[in-house]
Amino acid sequence: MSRTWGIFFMGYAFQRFGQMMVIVLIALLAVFTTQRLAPGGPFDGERPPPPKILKNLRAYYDMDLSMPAQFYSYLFGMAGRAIEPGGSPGEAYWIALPPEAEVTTLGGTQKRSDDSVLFVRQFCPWGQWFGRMFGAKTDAEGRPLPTLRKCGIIRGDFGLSMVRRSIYVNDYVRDGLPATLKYAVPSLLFALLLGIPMGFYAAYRQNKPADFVMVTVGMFGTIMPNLVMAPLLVFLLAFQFDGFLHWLLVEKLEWIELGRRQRTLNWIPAGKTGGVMHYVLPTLVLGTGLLGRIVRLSRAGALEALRSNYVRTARAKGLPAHVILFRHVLKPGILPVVTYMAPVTAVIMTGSLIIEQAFSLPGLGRQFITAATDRDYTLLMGTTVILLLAVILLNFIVDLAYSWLDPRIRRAGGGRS
Amino acid sequence: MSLLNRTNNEAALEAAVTTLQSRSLTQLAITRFLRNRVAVGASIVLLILVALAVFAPVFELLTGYPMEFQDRDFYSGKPPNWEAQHYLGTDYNGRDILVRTMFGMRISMMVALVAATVALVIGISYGAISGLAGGMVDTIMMRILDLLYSFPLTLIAVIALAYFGRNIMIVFVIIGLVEWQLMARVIRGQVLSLRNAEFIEAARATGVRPFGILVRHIVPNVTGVAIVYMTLIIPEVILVESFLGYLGLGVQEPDTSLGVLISEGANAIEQKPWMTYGPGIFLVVLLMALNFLGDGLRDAFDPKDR
Amino acid sequence: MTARTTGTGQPILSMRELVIAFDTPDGVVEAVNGISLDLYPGEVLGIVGESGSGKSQSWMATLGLLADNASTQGEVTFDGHNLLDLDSRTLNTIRGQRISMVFQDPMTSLNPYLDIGTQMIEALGTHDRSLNRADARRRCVEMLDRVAIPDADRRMRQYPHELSGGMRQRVMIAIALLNDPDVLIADEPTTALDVTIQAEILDILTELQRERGMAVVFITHDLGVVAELCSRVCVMYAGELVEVGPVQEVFEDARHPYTLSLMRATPRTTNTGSSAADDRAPDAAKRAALYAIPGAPPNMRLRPPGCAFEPRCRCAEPRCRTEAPALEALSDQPHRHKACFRTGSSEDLSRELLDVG
Repeated sequence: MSRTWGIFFMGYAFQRFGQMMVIVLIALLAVFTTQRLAPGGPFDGERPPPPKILKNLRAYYDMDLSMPAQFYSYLFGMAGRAIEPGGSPGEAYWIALPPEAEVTTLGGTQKRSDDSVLFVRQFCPWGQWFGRMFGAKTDAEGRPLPTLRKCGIIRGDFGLSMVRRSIYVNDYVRDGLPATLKYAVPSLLFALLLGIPMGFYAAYRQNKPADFVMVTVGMFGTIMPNLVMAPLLVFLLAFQFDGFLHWLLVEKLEWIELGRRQRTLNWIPAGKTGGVMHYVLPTLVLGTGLLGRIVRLSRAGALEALRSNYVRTARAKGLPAHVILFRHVLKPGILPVVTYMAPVTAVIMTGSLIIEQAFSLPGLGRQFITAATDRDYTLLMGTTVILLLAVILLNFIVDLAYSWLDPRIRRAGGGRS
Repeated sequence: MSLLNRTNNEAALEAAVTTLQSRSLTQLAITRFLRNRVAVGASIVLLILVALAVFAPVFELLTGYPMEFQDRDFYSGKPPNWEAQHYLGTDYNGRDILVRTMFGMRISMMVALVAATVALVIGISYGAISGLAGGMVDTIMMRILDLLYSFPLTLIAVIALAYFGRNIMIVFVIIGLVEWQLMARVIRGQVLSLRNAEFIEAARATGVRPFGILVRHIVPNVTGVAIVYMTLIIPEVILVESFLGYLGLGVQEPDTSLGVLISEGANAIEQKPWMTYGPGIFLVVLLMALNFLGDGLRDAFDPKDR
Repeated sequence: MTARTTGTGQPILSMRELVIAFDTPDGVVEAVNGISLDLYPGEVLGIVGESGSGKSQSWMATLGLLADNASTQGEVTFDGHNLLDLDSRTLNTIRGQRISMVFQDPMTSLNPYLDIGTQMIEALGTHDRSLNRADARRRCVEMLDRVAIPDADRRMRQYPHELSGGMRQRVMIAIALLNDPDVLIADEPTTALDVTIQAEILDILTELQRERGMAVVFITHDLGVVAELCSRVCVMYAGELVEVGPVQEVFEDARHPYTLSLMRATPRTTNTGSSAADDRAPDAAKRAALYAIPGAPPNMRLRPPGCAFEPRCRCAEPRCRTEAPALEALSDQPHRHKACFRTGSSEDLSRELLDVG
């Protein structure tokens, strides 16, 4: 089994990788085009920069090029974009970081001291050609003029933010992604580890009181919007829970009074004081919706398996209930849940926007919204790429898990239907 | 003359048969639906909510506070006060929360209806084209749908709204663009099964032209399913709208929606929880009623699906 | 009344007044309406009837395999236990070890997510904890060989979807026989298969039955198969037994109008050798095209007060409408039973059946 599966895996992974690239490209192109077509731009704030600097800014961000050239430059980097000297040293700060500044790409941290032309020659052979073709400036001998290094996202360089022009998008992502995952992963685990057993138990005791309770939980989870959950839970847990404790322990113990404010703060993630406590609220807000869905799906999956002919065969063999449950019902029962794990990224992302807004967390979702409202093109593109990669990665994992669980797909070589 | 008569008669006969069939089917579904107590209760609740939203201006008269009125005595958010007829309290600007909630619900429902219609139109066109074309076209269109299925389209809505302003019409269209996939899938399934159904075969064999088949047989049969799934899409749409409103991307002042109200309240949840109660409860009850109604309708029309 | 034949000793399994009812959203439906039956060691008992006559359900009930909404009354005695109210632990020692079952649809009766080996070995392991895996595996391979599956060792590692329908049914038979059961219930084992494969499966079953001497309950609607395989036959209609007796005698000289109509409604395409049903069928039947039983089986919710077959029976008398006949021994042949008021011979009844039509 392992060998055939390995071969299958290789071919499959290869095919998937191609698809992924196409999807990312199309999505990027869509976002890119929307950005450039939409009215307004990142540099027209309340106090637009002076014309000279604006010109340099536009040159640095390739915005004076044609659209295809801009897109190419974003993807692969481009050489030969000269930036005209001018203005005060303060103005120069708009466009350039000190040459020794460190750049974080997905490949690691590098010094940005090396010659950008050299870099482009070495790693981006097409860059010069494209640069010239799309009107990049050259010196008298036809060599591209030195410019700030731009590697293109293909080498993990998401570029400088367009609004906060001293910060690299890579740094935003480096800070934002863990902040998002920090709550997304526990909520998903919470929903899966609680939801699947609940769904199975409900199916096992179908139409009994326990089933009714589980179904109600599932209903509650799917219906309750997380933007209502967030303030509700904050109110109940962070602000009223202590009062509840207080009421419970009738006597006014000194330590309760003293610690009250602190304990309230502990619930709030942004307070950074709560230890494990601060996971509770975001996890519940993000996890309840998932939990509801997962309870419903695993219950439906388990019910279908329990009613199947092969479970009847298993019973006819004289297998005890727990063996039937774990050997015959578990796999088919969790398949619907596994399938749901593909769109779950989307659900978690939208949920993350809510919790990051509700609890003032510095995650990717918040950066995404800031980028969209501020017209921070590079930041928006960067976060979009990361989100897309997350979606695609999860889809990929789901497909593999599915094919691993369902032997019928292994040979067929296709994904989910 | 006689020819004309004959066609008329035939058409009349056919129409009679169709109504007879559909009536009996619909009647069956209605009996099934009426037996489902939860769904009936949900539809009653929904009717009440719709009435409240439609007659939202009545609350202005009832409480004496117009939606935009800023009550100087109740500035910066005061708790519910029955004597002053601020039944759910006031917000930061001293505006009455009950009145605003009603108007917010009105907007939410309006968005839901229009956006769901947009979704319906897109979904039906996509699904019908895919189902009717079949073959390679169908495969490709379904593959696209599969890909979109796991993509966070709400994020696209965020981008689009941020870029193209927050005009309410744009909100309609963009939410519609997010929520059409389920409809497309269902309609395609229905069209596919109809395409191979015996009575369509029969119609084809007797020489009815494709357009005639489409108009007389496929459209009526798809309509029922479309309505059922529309009730399932509407809560999703409301959710997306309140999500966008919560992020400050939905409808703009002076209009308000449930999501906007909740986000205003959430910022002050510690000191002024009443700002969230009203809109929160109405949103949850509305979503619940719609969900139960949608489930009930689906079960009534398609009992096998359970 | 109990149907018993030439008593080959004590019955190994006996049903008494078995009633099975299903609680459906549209009301309670009685699928089996008080049947009593004995199964003797080593015999092959055929159960014949239309779909929905309760022939499968009554035997599913003996192994406790009915759906959740089913309720049972009466008793099914096996080895001193009443199988209907046995605790699950004891029942599990009987299921698959003393009484095995082969189901109708081999395509869905094997778990598609587990390989054949796992599904076979677990059937052994659950009844014999001391068995080590290698031994269990060896026995499974032997069993697969026994049901004529080529390359058994490789098959053990394959998944059900990699096997043809006939292969899967052989696997099912192999699983059922792994523990050398006393009773094998074969619930339409060939219905879902191609005709050519049907014969192979039946050959295997017959061979294994002779070899092991177990009792086989063969549930089918194929009279030809019954004639070929079985020693005794029970004809069921609408949840009741209507005629019970040795195959040869029942087919040559059917005494219940339903049995007669059923035989007449069977096309003679299966090559059943010198089957009784072929040779001795009345002349009229040979001439006539296929006979169709008028009407449809009764709605099980609105069971008529009299004989269940009365509305479709052309030999019915007035009392058939009001009184339900009990299953009783024939006056001239006490080892045969039928549930009908009419006492005429086979010829008389069939003449009546055809005349009216």
